[in-house]
Formats: sequence, structure tokens, C-alpha cells
Amino acid sequence: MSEFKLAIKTGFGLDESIHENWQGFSVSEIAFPGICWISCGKQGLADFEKAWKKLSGVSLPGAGQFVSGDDGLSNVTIFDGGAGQWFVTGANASALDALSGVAAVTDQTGGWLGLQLEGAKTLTVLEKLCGIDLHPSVFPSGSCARTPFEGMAALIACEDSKDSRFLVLFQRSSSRSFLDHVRHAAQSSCALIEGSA
Amino acid sequence: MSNSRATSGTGQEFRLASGGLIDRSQSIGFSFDGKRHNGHQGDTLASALLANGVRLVGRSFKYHRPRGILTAGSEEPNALVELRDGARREPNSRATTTELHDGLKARSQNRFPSLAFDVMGINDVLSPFLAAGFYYKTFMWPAAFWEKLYEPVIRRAAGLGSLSGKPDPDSYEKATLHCDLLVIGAGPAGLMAALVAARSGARVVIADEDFLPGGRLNSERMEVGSLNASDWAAKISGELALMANVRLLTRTTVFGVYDGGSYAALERVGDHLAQPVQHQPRQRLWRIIARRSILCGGAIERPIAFGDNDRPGVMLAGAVRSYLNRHAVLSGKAVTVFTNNDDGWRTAGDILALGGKVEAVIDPRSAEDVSHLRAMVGDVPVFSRSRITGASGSKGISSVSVLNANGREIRLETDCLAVSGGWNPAVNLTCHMRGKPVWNDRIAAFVPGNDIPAGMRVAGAAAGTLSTHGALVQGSEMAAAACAELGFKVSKSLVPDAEDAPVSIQPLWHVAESKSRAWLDFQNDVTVKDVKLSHQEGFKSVEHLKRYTTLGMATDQGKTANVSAIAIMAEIAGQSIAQTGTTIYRPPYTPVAIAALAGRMTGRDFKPFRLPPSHDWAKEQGAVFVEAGMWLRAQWYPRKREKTWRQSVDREVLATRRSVGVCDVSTLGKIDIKGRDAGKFLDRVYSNVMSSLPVGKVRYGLMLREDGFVMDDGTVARLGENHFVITTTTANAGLVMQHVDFCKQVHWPQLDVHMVSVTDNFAQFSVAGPNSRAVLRKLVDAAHDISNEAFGYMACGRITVCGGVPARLFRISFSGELAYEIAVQAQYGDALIRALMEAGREFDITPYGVEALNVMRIEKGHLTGAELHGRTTAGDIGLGKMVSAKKDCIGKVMAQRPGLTAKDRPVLAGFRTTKPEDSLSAGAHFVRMGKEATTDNDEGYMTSVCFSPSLGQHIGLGFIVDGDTRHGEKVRAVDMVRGRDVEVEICSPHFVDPQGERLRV
Amino acid sequence: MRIPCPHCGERDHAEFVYRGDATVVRPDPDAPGAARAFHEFVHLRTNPAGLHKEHWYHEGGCRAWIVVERNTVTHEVMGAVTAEAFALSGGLSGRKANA
Repeated sequence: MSEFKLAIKTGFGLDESIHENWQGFSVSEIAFPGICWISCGKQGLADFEKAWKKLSGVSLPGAGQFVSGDDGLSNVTIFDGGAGQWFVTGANASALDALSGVAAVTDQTGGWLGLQLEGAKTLTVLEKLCGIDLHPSVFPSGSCARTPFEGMAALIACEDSKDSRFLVLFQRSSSRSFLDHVRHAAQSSCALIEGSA
Repeated sequence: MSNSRATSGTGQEFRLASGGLIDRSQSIGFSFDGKRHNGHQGDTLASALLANGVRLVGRSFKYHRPRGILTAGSEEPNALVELRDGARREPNSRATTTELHDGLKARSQNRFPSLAFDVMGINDVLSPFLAAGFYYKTFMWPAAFWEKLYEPVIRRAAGLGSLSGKPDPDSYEKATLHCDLLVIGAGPAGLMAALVAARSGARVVIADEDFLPGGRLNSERMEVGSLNASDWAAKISGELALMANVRLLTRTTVFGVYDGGSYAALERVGDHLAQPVQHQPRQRLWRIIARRSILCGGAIERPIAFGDNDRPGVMLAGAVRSYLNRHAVLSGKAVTVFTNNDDGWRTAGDILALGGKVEAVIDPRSAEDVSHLRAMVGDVPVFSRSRITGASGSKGISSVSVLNANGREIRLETDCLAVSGGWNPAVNLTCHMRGKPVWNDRIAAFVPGNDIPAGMRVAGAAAGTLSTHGALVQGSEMAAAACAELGFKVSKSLVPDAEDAPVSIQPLWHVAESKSRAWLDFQNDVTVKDVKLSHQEGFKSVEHLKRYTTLGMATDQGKTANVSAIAIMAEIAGQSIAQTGTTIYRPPYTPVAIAALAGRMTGRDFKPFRLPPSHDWAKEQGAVFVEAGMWLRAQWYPRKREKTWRQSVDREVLATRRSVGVCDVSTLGKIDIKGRDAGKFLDRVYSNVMSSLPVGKVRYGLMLREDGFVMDDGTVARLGENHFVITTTTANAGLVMQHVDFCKQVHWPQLDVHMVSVTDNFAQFSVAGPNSRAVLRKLVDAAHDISNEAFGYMACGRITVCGGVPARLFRISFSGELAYEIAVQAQYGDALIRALMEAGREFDITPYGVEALNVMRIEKGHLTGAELHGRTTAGDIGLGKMVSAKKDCIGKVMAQRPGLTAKDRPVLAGFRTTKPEDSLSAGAHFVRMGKEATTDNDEGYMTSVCFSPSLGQHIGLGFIVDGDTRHGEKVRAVDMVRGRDVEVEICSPHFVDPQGERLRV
Repeated sequence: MRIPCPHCGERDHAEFVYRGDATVVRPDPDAPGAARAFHEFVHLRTNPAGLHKEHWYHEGGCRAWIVVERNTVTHEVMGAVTAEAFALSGGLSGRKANA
């Protein structure tokens, strides 16, 4: 057994995850034990739907939607990622091994980070980062979309439109630029609360 | 009488004692050309200057004629000033839209040494030689003077205002808004439209360029319903601001209409503040996606051209009312009104109502035509069937010449001439998508045509509906129609009462009897005579007229000049105005700072940075970084005593080849490919066969473009029967991903194959050198045998390291040494590089950057984008055999084109200097010894060069005709750019370990 | 310009990569006259002033290749389908993608 140990670093290269507060807006880093990408062709879709339901207890989400699992997979969320594609958070490829016969499951844990955005000013902040319409009338709770933030690939999901709580997934390599943009948008939308990061 | 004399602050001679939408409780200090004055919140710089009796505000562009304030809006051509100091200094700011704030500093432009005495005024004397188009006929000869004399002199003389030359310290921001209805303009039509739409539940954005919503309602003495017009505007905009489904943007100009219901708007967030608020942008660029829009941008008044009509103190009649009613400022003590339409008379009426003096009203229409207006002006003299032919007073108007109904010239003393030639609907935005406006005889103006942007409606003065009530009604109706289209229930809104006067106008574009030059475009100094000259010289179409005379090409885009010029051209050409038409209107409606278009994309933030997993560790080591696309990669790792980059790089190369080195190669593209048809798919996108690759092995592959040239190269690793991972070059990662997605989805959708990028997912390090295996043994868990027998050259597999952390190991070598690439999930990357360095310490492990990486691959003869630059084939790079004859692939057919298989194509070879002190240039071209360096004798070119520490000399790779049969021959490497001509010897491109023995130990 | 991705809905064109004419089909490499057919496939385009069926790649979103019908003169976008649906609908004069 090798004498060396490998410690995990947060996506932003810090020892602790990000938690920052502004007036009416907060940002929290969300760590996922695993993230996967699933792809399934049209022919295998019926089998995959069955297998997913059996594993998670819930049906596949519709286009532009996400759904959290039941029972044993309640910490697992599946996001629509395109035609025949899904992102799954909360599980790595081995946890989804039961699906590997009916779909292509690829681990993506290392590549994506998550931020939870919340507060009355969240939509104002997001106006400066994201070009799609996130108004509750068109992007209610349970909606998700893949769209670039300042040119960087991202997936945004509305966890609760009443509290304006969103989850954003984005790529590890550009995470610092991403966070920088979020901070700037937050600064010009609200004032920083004293004492937080 | 007494009202007009009273002042409300020190020195504000022209300020009325009461009235106006200004805050009289405080006095604001500002300076103009170093002289201090006072004004109030609610003033613009222009209104404050007028209040203080300052009429001379600038010098015209070409002739340096003294100029004053003409308008009260963004259409202002004359009053362009320089604002602020230092790095925030901004030229060409319109005094008429500059909000006054305490401490504002402004300076006039385009004059030396002062506004009052400008030496360049000599241009006006030389005017006969400087007429329109003079530069097409002068500065021709001699040719030698073009660059040395004419251009430098003209450059210095050209332009209005000057930039600070310092980096902009302000920040800018971009944002996106989505709405059901965008209302452009918050005057009567816009406010009514927004109200109707908002009440129906639609999401509304209403934007106005002014800091106070209301449009003309803030400038006129009139009532809407039972309220003063400006009070009504305040009430409605207040109501709108409180509605959750309304976004009211003031200080925001919607400057462009684009495809698909997209609009661009510029919000001036902090321009009106003495200091920008911390963390706030100075300006914000909005992209607004609107399902429907209503243009309520109003109309712009036009002057009448007559001799010397550009004297300071000649102003638009509507502007005089703005200054009077909105700012409580008299523009003159004895105002004369010159108007061809009923609306101009209001100016006289308003001035009298507030206790000012009106000298006379001059109207070219008949006495009957104006009889109904006389009551408005009491006993003020009225000259009907009359026109003004001249104005005197170069630094400020003192008198005008009137040609009366009897044909006699009369001189009137006056210190302000309020002119109205009619109103032009601001149709610009309706034409941004190439629509054309149409001429309307009733109001003698252009109105929106039939081909306006999809989803847009027009209401109010912008549509040619020039009465207040008409605007309210039309705003309401257009909003109702738009909302109904979108499925919102619109309830009937009561439109308040307001004036509804019909338009009564007799077109008068210029006074032919004028003796002096009559001005049309004030900013570019274009006169009626210039229009005639343009026609005379054959430039008859409006587009030619514009470019030949430069009319309409200044920062005001001819807003107060275009229509008059078109009408005059029509007159000269003997055709109708409708036939003559307009030029094309393009965004932006008013000038937009380039910084606003950039938003945060400036300097270091121009593009996002992508950081490889070892970045923080590399920074700790003091690495020097280089930008490779968006990635920041370590270029070399300098040590204390090293003074040059060569010392570092040479050391890294030698240390790696001697013992072991480690390099972060995470940036290379990695694509995970799964599916029953994965192998079949890869056979079609790579030139060589991949389906035969055994599980646990890696194969080098070439990807061709469909036209037969090499697109990219990389490795294919088979981790399972239906599971491959392919690599691409760093630069082409995105392109290859796009390509494989295209091949699958478009060419072969029926194949069962799934691809996803995993570039970011893995931290991948190259561990290279004779001791690489020994280092890895210390990290790889014992269960995995990585001996040469168990894990030979080009093997790959899933392993675990450091007590169970999943990893992938690939035995591939870019350097030519015994080497591996080890990959772990990116969150372990930082830990892994530290562990590798610790494990390798006993072997003096050396981190190496992309420079050393490049040196080693050149020494080995491996290729990069320098050789695979898009115009080389597999045959050119000596890999013709890699294009399998057994199967089709992308590019196979066209790679066989005669031109791509010709024997005289330059092919890959190595090059070495013959003299040790020589160095080489990439880009040098090869010429035979004794031949002249001409394109005819050009035999090829150098693609990559380096100093080889292994060989102790400079070497290179390149392409040369018959390269593989000329080893040993000496040729010239000629670099005309850097002025080098070096003798080189052609040799094999594999300088180090050509047999590949080191790879296989 | 706004592009209506069949899966994601209307998005800004900056989320996409434009490629070109979607009606040209990759020829059969084994058929006679393949050299000429490939040359035309790669290099020759009708380039109409008017309606044009063209490939766009939703790189910033679902990564689907779609076929957009756009008027090249007015930029009016008539609609879009996935490349797969386009091929199946015979949008290419009956010629199916190579098996």
C-alpha cells in the first residue's frame, strides 16, 4: 500500500468551501459526492426509463426539468441535459452501475462544481450573468437549463422560485473566473454584509 | 416684467424667480472653461449655462465658427463639451443631456487658445477653399507629402475633443432583460402604453434617455386631465415604478433594434454623479428580449436654414420652451420667434405668460393662416408672409434681418431667435432592420413606413401623431393591441384629456434670399451651398450627398439636419421628397462607449481563465505562466540562480532525460466514448483502424478534415470493449468535440455511440524519464503490476493509487523517454502533484513546463499544431501509411486528390545548424545554396525550432521538397522578417533515440 | 439573432456555432464519381438569398446539431429541428444518411 495519501481540494482551491453574503443575496458552495452524465439513444430509452425508475423510485424528468430521487436515492437528483442526456448529482458512476447495461454512464465528479444562490436579489444578480429568462412565470421551481454564464458552460436549476433559490453547476477549470463574475454581479446588485468572506 | 428680472442664485441672471422642475433649496456649483457658476439639481449643464447668461459654448468642427446651444436634447449638434478630469475625462459630451451635479467641470472643445479667441477661426475666412469635398480635390500632389505632411497635419486638425489617453478607471456591466412589452420612451405615448400593458399583467420594460420620465410633458405649459403635464407624468411613472411587473429605466437609451426581438439599451448608471459609487458600473449595457415593442421616441424639431443661422442664440423653439418651463430659464431678454407652423407660436405665448419679452413673431404663412394664433401673443408684432434672411452678432446674436411681406428688409434687435421649421418623428429605430420611412405631406415629415421591425408598433409623435391627446390615445391603443396579441386581458383605460391641436405647417427648408451661408448640419459645418455643390458634382442620391458633404455623419448623426437636406436636394433635383428618400439609419441611435459594449471583458477579464489542477502548486514553485487559449500553463519553473529562460528550460530537459520529470498535461482535450458502435465510429473519424485496438492498449491516431488535410492528432485508449477515451491537442479540444458530435448526429445517427468531454474531469500528469516507473511504483497501489512485462509500451488501464484512489495509467510518451501519463479525478490533482514530487524527491524529480515539453518533442520528432496547421496532409508529415486502405474515414476520398498526393509537396524533415553559434527561426523558408531567395526558389519552410540541450545546438522541424531523400544536404533557411539567413543541414526529424529504445525499457 | 433549439427553446445565437448548408449529404465514398461528389459536398454551395436550411450546433446548451431554416436576407428564423429529425423527414431529397 502506498504510504502517500491524496486529500481532496475544493474547486476553488481553498481549504473551506465558499459561503458569502450580500444584502438580499447569498452564495454557498455545494459539494457533490458524485456527478454523472448519462446518455441513451432512442432505441434504448424505454429500457433506461424502467431501469432508472427501479433504481431511484422516480420517473425521468421532462425537458427542462429536474427531479430528486426517492428512498435510497433521495440525495440523488437527475437533470435534463438535452435529448437523451441527463446529469445526475449525488451519485458517481459506480453507484449507478445498474444502468450501465442500458445507457452510457460517465463519471463527471471531477469536472463540475456547484453553487447555491439564494435571496430576494438573486434574479437581479442573474440578469448580469445569464442570458435566459429566469422569471418564475417561465422558469418555475423544478426547471433547469444548460446555458453559458459569461461564456462558460453551466447548468442552472430553480430549486425554489419563492425563495429565489437556484443551483448552478459549472466547470472546475474556469471556476475562479466564474466565481469572480458572480461576485461582481452581486456587488453591483447589493452591498456586501460586513464580516462575511 | 419683474418676474423675468428676479434671480434665484448668485449670478443666474436669466433664471426666473419661480417655477421649473428644479430643486431651488440648494445651489450647485460648477465650472465652464474655468469660470465658476451656480445652478440647481434638475438642471442640465446647458440650462445652467443659459441661466448664467453663457451663450458661447463651442467652435464648429471645420470653420471654427462660434456656436451656442441649439436644442434641449440628445440631438444637440453644437454644445459638445469635455467633462471631468484625469483618466475619466470624456470628450463630446452634450451639455444638453449632461445632468448638473455639484463640482461638475466642463470645458469647451475645438478652440485654441480660447473660446472667445480661436486662432483656427481663420478657417472661416478660407471657407471658399474648404467647401464640401475639398479634400477630394486637394492634398493630391506631391505624393511624397501624403505621409510626411498632409496626414500628420490633418490628423492633428481632425476630430472633436481629445481622449485622456489613460486607462479607463471605471467599470461597465452587461445584463439581459426579458419582457412581454418594451416601451421605448416615457413621454405621453410611452407612459400611457406602459400603464395599459402593465395593468393587463404583461411584463413591461419602459426606458427613457432622460433622467426624468415625461418627455415633452416636462417642457410644455399644458394640462393632462386635471394635472399639470409634468405632474401627470410624475404620477404615472411613480405608479409604474411600484408595479412588480414593470421595470422603469431612466437615463437609458434604447439605441438599437436587432434580429429576433432583441434590443440594445445603454443605461448611464453613474455619469451624473461626481464620483461613481463603489462597485457600481459607470454604465450598463442591456440586451432586452421583448416579444413586442412600442416605439414612443417622440419627434425632433428641425430648424430653418437662412444666412448665418448658426449664431449663438439661435435656438429651436421647442428647446426655448424646455428651458423656460422645465428649468425656469429665459433664453433671451428679447426673444424673436421664427416659425412656419402653429407649434412655434407656443414659445412666444409661454414666454409672455411667464413675464418675458417677445420682440416679434415671424411666419412665412399668410395672414389668414396665422390669424387664429394672434391672440396667443397679445400685442407682439407679427410679420406674416415674412422670413428671416440673416442674423448678426458672431459671439451672440444681436439682430436679425427680416424680409417682410412687402419685400422690404427690416432689422430687428434681438438676443435670442427661437426657430421652428416643423417636427420630424424620430423614426430611426423603425429603420434599423432596413425599413424605409415614408413621406407624409400632412405634417411635412417622414413617418414610419410599412416595413418596420417585426413585433414593433409606433405611437405618438414618433408615428407622426403630434398632439398630446393623440399620443395618449395611440399609446393606449398600441399597448392594447400588443397585449391582446400575447393573450393578456386588457381593460379599457380612460385616456385623460389633453390638447389636441391639428398640425398646421407650410414647409420652408431654407430662405433663398439669404446672402450669407445657410447652415444645415451644424456639427460637420455643412451648408445649403454644399448640397447644391454636391448635386452639381454629380452626387445626387442621398447616400452620395451624405458621404460627399459629410452631412449627417457627426456624433449627432444629422438629427437636426437630414430631413432639411433631403428636401433641399429634392428641390434642386426637381423631384419629390418621397422620391428622394432617406439614407439608412443604423444603430446606435446616440453614441455608445466601446467600454460599455465590452462590459467586464477587458484586460485580464477579457476571457475566463482555465486553470489546470496543479496551478496553485505551480504558482508556489514560482512557475512562469503562458496563456494557451484560455488555459494558463506553466511555461518553465525558474530556480534561484537562473537568469534566463533558456537556463531553466535546458535544465528541465536534461533533468527529465537523465532521471525523471513531471508535467501537467491536463489541458489536452479528453473525450469519453462509449457504445456498441464506438470502435466502428472511431474507425470512421480516425485515418487508421481503431476497432482492432485491444482493451488495455493505446494507439496514436490522426484525424483528417473532410477535405483531406490533417485536422488533429491524439491517442485513443481502450478501457473496455465499448469504452474508449480519446485525446486531442489542447487547442483543438473544442473543435474535435464539435466534429465528433457532428459525425454522430448528422452523418451516422443510427450508430450506438455516446461521447462526452472529460477534459475538466481529470488531472493528468506526464511522468517521464528513466526513473519514471520507480517514482510511480511508490504511488501505485501494490495490487497493480506496472512492470514492463505487465504494462508495456502503449498499455493503459484502471488502477488505484495512494490507498484506493481510482486512477488511470497510460504508458505513452511525448518526450521520447520511458514515460507514463497518470490521471486522477481533478479534485485530487493538487494532492497528486505534491505526492509525485515527494515520491520523486530521491530521484531529483524535476517539474517541467510547456517550453521543455516542446523542446523534447522536437528532439523526438513529434508533431504539434505547428506542423498540423491545416494545410498539411498525412503524407506530408510522413504518416501516409496511417491512412488505412481498408476502410472509409472522414477525409479519405479527398486526401487522394492529385494536388494532395503530388510528389513535389514539401514533406517533413529535421534541420540542424551547421555552425554552433547559429540559431533558427520558425517561419524561415528554404532555398537551395547559391539560389536567390525568391518565391520561385522557395522549397519549404521551418515550423518548429529550439535549442536542443541533448545535442548542444539549435534544431528544427519543417517541410521541404523531397525532404526524406535529401538528408545531409545543406540549404539556406531565409527569414526575411527578422533578417536572418542561416545554413542548415537536412536530417531525420528524429534527433533523439530514433529507434525508440528508451520508450520500451 | 435568436435560435429556437428544439430541446432548449429560443436562445441567443451566441450559444451556438454556425456551420452552413444542411441539405448537403455526405456522399457514398465507394460509389463511382466519389471524388467529384466529395469535392462538391465540401466546397460547393448554392448560397441562396432567401430561405436557407443550415446547421447550428448548440455548444453552450444541449450540444445538439440542429437544422435551422433562416431567411439569409431578413434573418427571420422560421424554425428548427434536430439534425436527426431532419434526416428522417427526408429533408434531403430522400437521400438518407450513410448506414
